[in-house]
Amino acid sequence: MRRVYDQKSLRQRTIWDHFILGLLMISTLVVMVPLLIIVGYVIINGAGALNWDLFTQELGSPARAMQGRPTGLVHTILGTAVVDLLAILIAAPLGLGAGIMLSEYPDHKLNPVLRILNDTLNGMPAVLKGLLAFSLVVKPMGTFSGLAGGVALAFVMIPIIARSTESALMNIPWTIREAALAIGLPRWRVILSTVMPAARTGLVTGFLIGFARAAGEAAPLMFTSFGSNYLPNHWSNMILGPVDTLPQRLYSLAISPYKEWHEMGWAAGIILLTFVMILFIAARFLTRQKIKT
Amino acid sequence: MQENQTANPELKRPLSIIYRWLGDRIFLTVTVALGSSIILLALSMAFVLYSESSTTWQEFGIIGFLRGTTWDAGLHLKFGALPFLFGTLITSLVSLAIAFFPAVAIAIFMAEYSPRWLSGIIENLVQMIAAIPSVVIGIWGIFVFAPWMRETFYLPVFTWTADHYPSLLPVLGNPIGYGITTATIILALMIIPYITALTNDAIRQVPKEQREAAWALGATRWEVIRMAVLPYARGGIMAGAMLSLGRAVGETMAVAMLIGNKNTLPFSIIGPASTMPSVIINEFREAVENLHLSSLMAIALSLFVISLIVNLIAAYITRKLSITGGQLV
Amino acid sequence: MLSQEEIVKTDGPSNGSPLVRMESKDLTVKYGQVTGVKNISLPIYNESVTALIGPSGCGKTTFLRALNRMHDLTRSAVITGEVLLDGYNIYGPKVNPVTIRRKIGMVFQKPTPFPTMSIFNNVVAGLKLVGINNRKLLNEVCEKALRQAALFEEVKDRLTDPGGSLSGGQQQRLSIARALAIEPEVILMDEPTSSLDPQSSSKIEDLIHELKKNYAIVIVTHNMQQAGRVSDNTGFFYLGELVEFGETGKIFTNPVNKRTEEYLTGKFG
Repeated sequence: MRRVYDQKSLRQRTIWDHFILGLLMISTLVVMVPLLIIVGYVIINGAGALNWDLFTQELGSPARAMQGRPTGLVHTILGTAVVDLLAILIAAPLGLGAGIMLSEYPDHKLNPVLRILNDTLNGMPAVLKGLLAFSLVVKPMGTFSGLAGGVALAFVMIPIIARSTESALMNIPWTIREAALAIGLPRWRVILSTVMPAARTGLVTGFLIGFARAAGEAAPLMFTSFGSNYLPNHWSNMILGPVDTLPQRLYSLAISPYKEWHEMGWAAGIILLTFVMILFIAARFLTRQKIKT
Repeated sequence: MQENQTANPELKRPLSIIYRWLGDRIFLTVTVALGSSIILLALSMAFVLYSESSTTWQEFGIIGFLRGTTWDAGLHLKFGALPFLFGTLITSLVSLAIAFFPAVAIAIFMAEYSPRWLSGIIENLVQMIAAIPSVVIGIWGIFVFAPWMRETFYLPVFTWTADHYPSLLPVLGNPIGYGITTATIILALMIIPYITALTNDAIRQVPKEQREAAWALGATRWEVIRMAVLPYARGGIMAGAMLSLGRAVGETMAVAMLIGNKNTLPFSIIGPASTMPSVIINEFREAVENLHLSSLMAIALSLFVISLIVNLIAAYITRKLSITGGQLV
Repeated sequence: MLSQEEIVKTDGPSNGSPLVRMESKDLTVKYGQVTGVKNISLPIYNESVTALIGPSGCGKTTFLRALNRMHDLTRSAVITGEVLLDGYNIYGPKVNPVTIRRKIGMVFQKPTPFPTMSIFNNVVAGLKLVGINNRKLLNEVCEKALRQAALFEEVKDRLTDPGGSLSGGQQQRLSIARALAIEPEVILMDEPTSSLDPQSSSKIEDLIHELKKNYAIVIVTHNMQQAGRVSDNTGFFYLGELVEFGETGKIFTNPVNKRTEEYLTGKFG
C-alpha cells in the first residue's frame, strides 16, 4: 500500500498548536486584566470616598459639599430602594404570568407571538424603556415620579423574568404534573402548589438576575424618576414625585464640575457595585445549588 | 396542609364545580391577561415612539430627517439624525470588530485548553464583569481611562501630527480625551463578556463525538478546534456577535459619559462625537421645544428599528446555521 | 469480582497471518477511584477481525479507547500497563498521541461526519491536516477511500454536498472512508452499526470482511450474532476484566468459562 507522505511535519503542527495556545492565553490576559483593573479602581477609590455622612445626610446644593458641610446620599439610597421595590412589584406578576402561560399552556395560540415579542423587548435598549415609561406615566401624571422610575425598571425586568420563569417551570418534568392531575387536583392547583414550589429555586434565580440587571440601569431613570437633591418631605413623594436613584445620581455626580461631587460619585459607584454584585452572586449561588440537588 | 386535603377527591367533591372549573377558568384568564400585557407592551413601545415623534416626521420627512446633518435645538430648530446614526454605527461596528476575536479567544481557551479550575474562575469573572453597571464603567472611564488615553496616546500623536502633517489635524481631532475612540474602546471592553459567554455556550453545544472524530484522525488540539468545534459552533458564535452588536448599539450611559457629545458632523478620529442613545440622554431632560422632544423621540424610534433588525438577524442566524444531530438545518 | 485464575486464554488465531499487530499488556484504566478495565492482556492479529463482546458497562469500549489513546482527552483517566503497536509501547514517554491516532484509526457508534464540510472534504480531512493540498492526489485518495468504504457509487456525483446530507448508513460509511483515507494500520470500531438499520448494518459488515484483507480490525459490539459473523477472534469482557479470549468459532460453540457460556446463551447481559 502506498503511504501518503505528510507535507507538514508533526513538529511544525505541534509548534503551531503551542503558538495558538500562547495567543489565546495572551488574549485572555490582555482582556481580563483591564476589566479587573476597572473593578479594582472602583473598589479602591470608592472605599476611600465612603464615610458615615453618605448614609445619613442628603445631598443638597453643590455649595454644601464645597463648603465642607455634611452631605450624603441617604435620599438616593432610600429612593433606590423604593423605585427598585416598585419595579419588582410591577414586574413579578407580569413576568410570572407570561412564564406560566408559555410553560404550562404550551398550546395557547398567543404563545409564539408572546415569545417573539418578549425576546424583542429584552433586546431593546433600556433607554427606550425609559422613554416608554415617560410617555405612559410621566406625561399623564404631569410630573416625574418614583412610580414612573419603577415602571421603567419593570420594563427592563419583565422579559428577563418571563424567560427565566418559563425555563424554570419547563425544567420540572411533566410526570409531576400528570401525577398531581391524576389524584384529582385541578390544573390551577397543580401549577400553584406542585409545579411552582418545585421550581422555586429557578424562579428566585430569575428574579435575582432580572433585579440585578435593572438595578444597575441608569438610562431608564433619567427621564422618569428624574432625580432630586433632597429627601422629600413626605414618604409618598418618593412614589409620586421626582426621586433620586443611585445609577442616575452616579451619572449626575460624575459629569458635574465639582471635585467634591466626583468623590461622592466613586462612593455611589462602590455602593451600586456592591448592591448589584450581591444580587448577582446570590443568583450564581442558587444556580449552583440547583445543579447540585 | 391544604394539599393533603385537596389531594383526596372525596373530600372536595361538593366544591368540585366551582373549585375545578371556575378555578381553572379564572387562573387561565389571569395568566393570559398578564402574559398578553407583555405583547401589548412591546407593541405599545413601537406605537408610542411613533406617535410621539410624528411631528418630526411631518416636518422633515423620513428621508429628510435621517439624512439631515444639522441638529440645532437653539435658533433654527432644525433636526437631522445623520450624525447620531453615523456615530452609533461607527462605535458599535468598530467595537464589535475590536472585541470579537479576543472574546472568542477567551471562550476557546476556557472551553478547550485551560484546566477545569481555571475555566471556572474565568467563567465566573466574565459573568461578573458582564453584570457591572454601565455607569460604574463610565465613572472609571471619565476619571481614569480618558485622562490616561489623553496623556499616553492622544497628546503625543497630536503633537507629532502637528509637527509633521498639520493638514491632517482636523481628521485627527482634538485630544481632549473624551471622544469616539475612547468610547469605542470602552464599548469593546463592555461587550467582550457577552461575546465570550455566548461563544462559550455555542462551543459547549458541540457534541463530544465531533471532537473525538477529529482527535481520531490524528488532529492536534488546535486542529480539532478548527476542524470540528468552530464550524459546528459558528451559528451560535455569529448569533452571539449579532446580539452583542445589539448591546453596543443600545449601550447608553458609558458612551454618553465618554464620547464628548458633539452633535455636528464631521467627526474626527479621536475627537468628540455622539450616538443615538447618548443624544437622548443628554438632551431629553432639558428639551422644552415640542419639535426638539419629537425629534429625540424620532431618534429613539430609529434606534428601536435598528435594534429590532439586529435582533431579528441574530434570530435568523441561530435558526439558519444551527446544526442538529449532525445535519445542517 | 473475578479472580485472576478465572481468566482463561486459549491460543492463537485460526486463519490469516499469525502476526501480532498490537498487543495490550496488563492494561488498566481508572477514572479517579473507579476502575474501568483491569489488567487486560490481549493480542490483536494482523489481517483479522477481533471482536470484543460483553454486557454493557463491562469495559469493552473503555479498552478499545485505550488502544489509540482516546482517554488522553478525559482529564481524570489514569492508564497503567502497555499497549504495543508493532512492538513499540504507544504509552511510551516520547510518543505523541497524535502520531498514534494516525496509525490507529477509529470509527464511532454514531456516524460523525463534520456537518459543515463537503463529502469530499470529509474524506480528505485527515490529509489536509498534514498539509496535503495537491488536488490530484486528494482526488485519488478520496475515490479510493470511498470505494473501499463501498460508498463511491452512491455519492460520486455529489461530492460537494455537505456530509450531513447523507443518510445514517451512508454517513457511517463516510466516517469509515475518512478513517481509511489516512491509511492507518489498525482500525478500531466502537459498535459501528448500533445506530443503523439492518440493511445498512449488513453493508458495514460486508465492508469489514473486505477491509480485513488489509488491516487489523478491532470491533466492539453488543450484538453477538454480529461478532460471530464478522470476527476471527473474540474477547469476552465482564466487570472490567477479560474473561475469555480465543478463536470466535471455539468461543461460540465451546466456551471454557461458565460466565461466557451464560452470556452467549442469553442468561444475562
